[in-house]
Amino acid sequence: MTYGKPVTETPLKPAVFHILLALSRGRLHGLGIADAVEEETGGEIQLGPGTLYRSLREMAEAEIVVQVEDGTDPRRTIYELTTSGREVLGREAERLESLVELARSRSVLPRKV
Amino acid sequence: MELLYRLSLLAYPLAFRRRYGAAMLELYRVRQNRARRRSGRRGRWVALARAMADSVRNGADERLGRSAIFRGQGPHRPPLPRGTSMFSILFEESRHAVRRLVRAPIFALASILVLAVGIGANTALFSIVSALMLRPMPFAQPERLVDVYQDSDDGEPNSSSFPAYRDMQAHDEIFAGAAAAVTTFFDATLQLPDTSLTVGAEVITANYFEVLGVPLQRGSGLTAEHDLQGGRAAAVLADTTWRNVFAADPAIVGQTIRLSGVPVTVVGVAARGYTGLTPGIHRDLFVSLSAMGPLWGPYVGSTLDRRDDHWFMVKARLADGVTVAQAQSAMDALADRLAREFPHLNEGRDITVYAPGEVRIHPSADAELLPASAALMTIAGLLLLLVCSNVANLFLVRATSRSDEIALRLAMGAPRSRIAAHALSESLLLSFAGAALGVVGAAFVMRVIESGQIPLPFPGAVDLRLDLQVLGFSAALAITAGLLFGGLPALRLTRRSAVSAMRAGERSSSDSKAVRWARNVLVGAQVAVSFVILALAALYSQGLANAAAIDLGIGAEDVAILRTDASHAGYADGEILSLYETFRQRLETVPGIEAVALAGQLPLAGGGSSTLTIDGYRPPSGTDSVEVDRAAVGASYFSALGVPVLHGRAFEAGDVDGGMVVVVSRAMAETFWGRTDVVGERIGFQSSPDTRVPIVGVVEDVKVRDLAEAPRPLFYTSLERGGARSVYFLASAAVDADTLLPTIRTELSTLDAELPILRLTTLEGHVSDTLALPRAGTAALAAFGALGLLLAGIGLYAVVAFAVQRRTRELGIRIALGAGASNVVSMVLREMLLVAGIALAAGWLLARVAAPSLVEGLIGVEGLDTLTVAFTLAVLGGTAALAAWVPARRAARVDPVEALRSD
Repeated sequence: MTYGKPVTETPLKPAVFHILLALSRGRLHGLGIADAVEEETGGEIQLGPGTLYRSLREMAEAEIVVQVEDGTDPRRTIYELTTSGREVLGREAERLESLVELARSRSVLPRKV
Repeated sequence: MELLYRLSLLAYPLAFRRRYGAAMLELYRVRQNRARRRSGRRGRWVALARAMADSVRNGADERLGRSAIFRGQGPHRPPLPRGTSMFSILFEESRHAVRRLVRAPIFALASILVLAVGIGANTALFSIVSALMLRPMPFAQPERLVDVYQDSDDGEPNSSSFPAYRDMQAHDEIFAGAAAAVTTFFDATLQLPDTSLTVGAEVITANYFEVLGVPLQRGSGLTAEHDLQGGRAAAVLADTTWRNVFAADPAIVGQTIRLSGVPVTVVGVAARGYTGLTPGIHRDLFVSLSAMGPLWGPYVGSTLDRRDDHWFMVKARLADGVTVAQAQSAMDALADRLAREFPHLNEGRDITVYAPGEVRIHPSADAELLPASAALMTIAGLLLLLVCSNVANLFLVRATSRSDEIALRLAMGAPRSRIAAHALSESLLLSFAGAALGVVGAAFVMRVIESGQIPLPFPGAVDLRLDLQVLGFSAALAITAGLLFGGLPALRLTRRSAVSAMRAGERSSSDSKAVRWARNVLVGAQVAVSFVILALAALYSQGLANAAAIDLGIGAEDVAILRTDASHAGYADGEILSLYETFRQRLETVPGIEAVALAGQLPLAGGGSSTLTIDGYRPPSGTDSVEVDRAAVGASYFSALGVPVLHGRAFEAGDVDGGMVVVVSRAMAETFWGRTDVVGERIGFQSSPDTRVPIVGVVEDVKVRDLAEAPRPLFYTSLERGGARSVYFLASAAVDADTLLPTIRTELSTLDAELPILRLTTLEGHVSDTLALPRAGTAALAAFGALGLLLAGIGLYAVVAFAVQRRTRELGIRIALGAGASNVVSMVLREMLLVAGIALAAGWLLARVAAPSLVEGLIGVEGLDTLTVAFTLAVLGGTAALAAWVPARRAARVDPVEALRSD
């Protein structure tokens, strides 16, 4: 079910990016996603339970992730990136990259040699 | 802790909760474990806080239909049905409000504190009123229960005599059952293996619980044999007694307990929550009629036969189909019959039947209770209003300082209601926080009252409870207060004239002169009242200190006191004195104890008095007899306590068996004979006018009844000669008396473990106890003084803050022109100093006028003295300085450019 603006045209919240990133390596269930995000950000980002599950639900509705396995018990539901999810992830990464480039050009970040 | 997180999950709509609740909980638990391993308890609390914040945030978003994955104005989910949107909006606003309040901590804390006091005081008072007047009694079918009263001599409904009760009960066509109980003045000592407790008892007929419809949770209760004078003594325990004293022993029924030395069988435990017939007063146990004689003496026991004692409250259940009116006419007929049969006793005594629910405690008490409760609640209500007006001022100060923001919002089209909602959300949040704190405080105060640390004029503990009714009352108060002090300023600020004024750049709080004047008067009144209360508190403390330092007339400095009654341990009258003498000598051998004496009463506790006739003395009242205080003391009393013998001698061994002799105090000698050496004179007792008793000694005065008294005439009789059951052992010590108390306790139980310890304290402790009530009063005054200070401080702060706001432009100009800080500050303080000055003068005047009458009972305090005035002025002055400091500093720091920009 899609509604309003397509997913690709509106900037996404940071949590979404991290969830997509975590799923990029393979399917996970809710807890696993939370763990992966925490690990990958060195503990900086701890997804709150509400944030996590609301995001996952909407991401599933926007078809950027898909629920594999039985979806009745959210604890056991396993999520997987869809193709469109991979696209979104890629595009978001590019957007961030271009921001970083801009920052480098303004000497906010040291240029990479 | 998990409970708290679960509670926070309520922020989510039900559907979401149902689906994802378990999963969220699981993640929460995992995080908790990790946090515990990593950073222990603190980490867990941090994780909990994070999780709860996550719930609140997401819960609101979910309710508002906000997207979880899109930033900004992303596509919205369809909003939830109407029903929940109000709640969601409030939720949303509260979040913002919390953020705003956290940024202004002093404002928030001051408001919460003051609101806590206002709401807390109201809650406490309401809980008392509720316990006494409102809480329903747990009777079955209360609409069929009536109260029956026999009038006393003055025609007012009073309690009934027992035979009259029996007459009422005989009308079984009117009453399906009638029970009687004595609800006042009986207490006893419950003797336990290692301690004794004073317990309050209600004396009841066997059918008491049945008629009232209060079930027994254990046992079968009293039977007909317990209603007879010679029957065995039995008792039903109150639930709290069974739980607290007997540890809810399941085998309690059938056991025998010792009450004041009398074996009493436990026949039941009353239902939980039932504490006796008098609302608000808690009874520890319910004893049978048959127990009256053994516990309190044959005179008390025989009241069952006497028509001239009126001790019983009668509660009766109407028979089926009988109305109150019918019952009343039957009782009228009974009253007439009794008046004819016993004219000298019952002439003119009506019997009144009160409808169910008409009487709360007692018809005469109720008449006083209602206006007293109303007065108390009114005062508390006024206090809350005062608090609200103060906090409203604070709100206004804060709001006007953000007037730019408000004007901007209004200009951008935000509806006035939205701005009002902002202010309201803050105020409601504050008032609920204040209410929560206030309720906790009220509960604490009530626990203190219940624990008996404050002496009350009736036996039995007071039964106050924070029940749902009371909590609901608090919540209602919180909402009202929040609306009052938050809503009104909010409305004023969004008034059209205010709006246009703000748009035009006027940074004024748009106060009319009248409003400003009214505010100043209110603040001034608070300052004046604070002055009076503080001054009184200071005077009372002085009085208290003076009282504690008063000379009792006793030379010994450290005296340990033990009270016991050998009759409770089964000793016959003849054996008691020799037992006491043995113990007295034994105590004297204890290291640290110098001398031990026996007495029938303690100084400052008062004792009995006798009517005497004294030769050669004509009392001014015209009768030939005079009432004089009396004390029974042992032979070594005066020497042990260091009371100087002025003339003659103290009691000796020979006085025990010989003719009666007395020793008198100096005041007695001087009052009746005009000189101190009255050895050889005689006194007569009105009860045996032919005997003249010789005076063998004159001793120095001691305090008899209270610390403030002038020397009273007092005569002493020999304790050993008169005999005694309950006595005090007074041991003067060379060491700190407190250290001897455990030893004395051990010595008594070594002598005979059955001997009860009715009281074990020191003379110092005893004196301190007599001051308990004044001490409590002083503490209350000090507390009110502190509250008054807080309120006055807030009021003064508001006055200065408003002045700063009002004159910001002027200040800017002056500073731009080079005015120094002190110049600026003094400008701003002018108004406050005027208000404070007048208020202090008014307060001082009021205190001066009121003090002499208010300090009447105090020792060494006549009226308002200079030291007190200086102290109070200093405290209030300091508060004013503190209150003015913050806004004054702000005034000095006004940026002239900013200030002038509003053009």
